[in-house]
Amino acid sequence: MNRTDHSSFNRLEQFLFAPVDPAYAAVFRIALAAMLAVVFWPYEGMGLVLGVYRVPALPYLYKHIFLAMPYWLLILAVLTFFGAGFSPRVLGFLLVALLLPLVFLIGRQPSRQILLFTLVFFSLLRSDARLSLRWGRQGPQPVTTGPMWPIRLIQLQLSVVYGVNALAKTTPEYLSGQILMGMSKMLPNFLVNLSDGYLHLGPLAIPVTILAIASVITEYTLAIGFWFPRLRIATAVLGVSFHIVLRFIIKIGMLDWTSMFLYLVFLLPFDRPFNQQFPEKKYNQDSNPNYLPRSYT
Amino acid sequence: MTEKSISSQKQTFVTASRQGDLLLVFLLLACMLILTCYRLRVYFQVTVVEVSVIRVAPDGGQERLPTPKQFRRMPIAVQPPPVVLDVLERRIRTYMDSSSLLSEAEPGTRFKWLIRYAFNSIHLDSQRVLLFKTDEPH
Repeated sequence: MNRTDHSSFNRLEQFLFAPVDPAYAAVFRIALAAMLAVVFWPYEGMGLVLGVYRVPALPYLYKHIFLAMPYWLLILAVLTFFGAGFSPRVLGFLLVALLLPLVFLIGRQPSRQILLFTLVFFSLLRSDARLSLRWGRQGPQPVTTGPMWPIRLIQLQLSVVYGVNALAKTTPEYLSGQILMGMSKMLPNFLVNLSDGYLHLGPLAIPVTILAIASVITEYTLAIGFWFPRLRIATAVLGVSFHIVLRFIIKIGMLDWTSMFLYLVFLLPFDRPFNQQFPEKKYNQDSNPNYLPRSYT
Repeated sequence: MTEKSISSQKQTFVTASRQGDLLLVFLLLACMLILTCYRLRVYFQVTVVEVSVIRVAPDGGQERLPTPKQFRRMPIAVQPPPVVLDVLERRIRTYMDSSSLLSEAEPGTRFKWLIRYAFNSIHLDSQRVLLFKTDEPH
C-alpha cells in the first residue's frame, strides 16, 4: 500500500470508526428524547393513512392500542428513561418498536420517519457513558460510546432529505415557478398568493421563478455544505434562515423543526481523533490526529 | 504493550468486528435510501384543479352555481392527476348524495360538474365532466 492509499484509508477509518465523544452523545440523547416527544405526541386531526384500512386487524389495533392514552403514557415513560440514559440501547430499540406504528398516521409522516431512523442509528451507540442514570445496574460504566458511523448515517440522512428534494425540484416546471403558483392556488397550507407569478412584499414584487430557483439552490447547498467543516456554521445559518422564511410562505408541520434539529449532528463535535482516546500513549511524533501505526493495516 | 494490541484497543465496533460493522452500515444505508428517496420528497409536484358546477334546466338554460368551499383548495393536490381526480370524483358524488341539490331541483334538471385540471402547470388544458340528473318527469 503506498503513502496516498494509506492516508485515504486512515481518513476513511477516522470517518467511520473514530470514537464518539461520550459527553456529546449524552447531550444528543437528551435532545433526541425531547424531540421525539414533541414530534410523536398526539395532536388534533390525527388519523390513519388509507393503507392501514387494507389490513382488517390494523384499524382495531390502532383504535384500542396505538391511539389509546396508556400507550402514549408508556412511550412517554420509556422516552424519559431513554433521555435519562438508563440502558439507552435497549430502550432505544424498544422505542423504535413502540413508535413504528405511529409513523403511519396522517400528518408529520416525514418528520416521524426521519426521527425514527435517527433513533435506530443512535441506539447502536452506548450513549450512557456520561449523564446517565444507573439505578440498580451492575458492572462498570461503559468507557467507550462506539464508532462514528451511526452518527455519519444520521448526517447522511439529513443530506439525503435536502438532496432528494432539491433533485425532485430540478425540473423546468418547478424552476419556472409554475408549480409554486399552482400550489399557492391549491394547497390550504400555503400562506401567500403567488398565482399572478409574483411574491408581493410591500412595494416589492419578486418573480416566482426567482423564488423557485433560490429554494432549489438553497436545498442543494444544505445537502452539501454541512460536509465542509469550515462551512458548517454558515450552512446552519442559511438553513435556519431558509426555514424561517418558509414559515411565512407555507405551513409544513414539524419537518422544518426536525431538519433544523438534525443540524446538531454536524454542529456537535462528536468525533474524537483516535489518539485522544488513550492520552497516556503517544502514537505519533507530529501529533497528527489521523495517524495510525502501520500495523493497523 | 505491542503496537498491534494498542491499535486493536483503539477500535470500538457496534458488532464484534469491522466487517460486521461495514455490513451493517451498508444494510442500514440501503434501507434509509430506499425509504427516504421516495417518501421524503415534499412539495415538488402539484395537480391544479378548478371545479365548477352548472345547473342545466329542463329547457336547456344554464346557471353557474358557486363552487362548494371544499372543492377549491385540497391537500391531496400534491398527488398526480389520477389520484387527485379519483378522490375528487368520490367527494363530488358524496356531496351530491348528501346535499339537497338533486332532491329540490325540478324534474329533468341536470347538474354538470366541470373539472378542469393540469399537472405541474397553471394552464388548465384537460377536463373531466360529471353529470347528475334528477328523475325524469313521468
